[in-house]
Amino acid sequence: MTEVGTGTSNSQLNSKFTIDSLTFYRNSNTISDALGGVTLQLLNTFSTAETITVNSDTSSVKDEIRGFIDSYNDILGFLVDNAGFNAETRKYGELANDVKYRGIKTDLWKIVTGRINGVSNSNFNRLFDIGIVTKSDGSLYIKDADKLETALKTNSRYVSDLFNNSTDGIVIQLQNYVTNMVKSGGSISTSKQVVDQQVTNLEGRIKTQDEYLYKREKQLFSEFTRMQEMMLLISNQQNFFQQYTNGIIF
Amino acid sequence: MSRQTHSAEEMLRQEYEMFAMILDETRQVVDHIDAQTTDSLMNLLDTRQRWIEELKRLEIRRRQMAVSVVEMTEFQRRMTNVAKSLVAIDAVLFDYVKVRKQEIAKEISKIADNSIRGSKRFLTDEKKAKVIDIRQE
Repeated sequence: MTEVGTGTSNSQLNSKFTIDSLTFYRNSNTISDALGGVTLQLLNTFSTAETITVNSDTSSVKDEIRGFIDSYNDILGFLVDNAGFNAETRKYGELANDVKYRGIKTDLWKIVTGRINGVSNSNFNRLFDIGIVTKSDGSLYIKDADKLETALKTNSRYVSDLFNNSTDGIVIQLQNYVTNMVKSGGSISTSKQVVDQQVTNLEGRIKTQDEYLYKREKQLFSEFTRMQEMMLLISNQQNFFQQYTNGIIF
Repeated sequence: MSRQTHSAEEMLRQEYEMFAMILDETRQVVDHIDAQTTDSLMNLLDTRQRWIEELKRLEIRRRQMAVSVVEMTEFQRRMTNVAKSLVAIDAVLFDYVKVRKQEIAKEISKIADNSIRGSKRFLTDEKKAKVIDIRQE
């Protein structure tokens, strides 16, 4: 660092510094674009080069990863409740008969367990490589915290690539998947239209059936009344014939 | 044989023939009772009722003649036999109609209890079905 800006006395140049033989000029003493993820506060000048050691803030990254896992597991829980079979209550969710919703769980599982191609280090191309795996119910959890810690400390970009690389990062894939699902004309919209149509058809069938039952009921009431009339008629006619059997009529 | 006796005998013969027709007609229906519609059963009973009214009319006229019935025993005997057959066959007919009526009552109850029908009318019909069941007892 050769000069530190001091305001009006050297307004042409606020700061000048060198990092790894590369000279930077900035009009501020707060530099956030020289080193990725590091903000430098220039407070003084030095006659010789100084070594700056930067350590990764792994705890905040881990918190974000835990947040991702929790959100993912919440979605899975919702899907199990609404589109799966509950072993405790032995009941199926309301959407269990919809193939689309049953398939979401599998699709998500494929995304979070698959290999990611757009990573800068192929040793870190699956969540498994940073210690995150799935349980038998499909939910994610950090099985090997040391593995995650090592990956973050080795190079946080490796972890970042897994989630955020623009080609096929897990978050990007999930984002695209969800967008395709929820957008107008997307899978859920189409599925909803199909269900709505089925409901309309069923309502029509119920109405037709109801009308049929109403007519049938009226017909049966009429038949019932006629049967009663017939029984009375048969009884009277039988009494008439009976008189001839004992000769009193002659 | 006097003219009056002859007329009385003729009336008895007519009565007998009517009885025979009633029996024949009734048998034809009862022999295929399961294939009969309510309308066909009702038609039979209406036809029989018309003949019965005619029989009653002839009987009144015959009684008004007040002739001895000694010479008429053969028709009497025949009519008695036919009447016995009709009484027996009517018992079968009555039982059949009774069973059919019970089946209709059951079907009405089933419709009234149908869970698809959630309308106000459904509740009214359910009450109707119960009234019918009580009548059946």
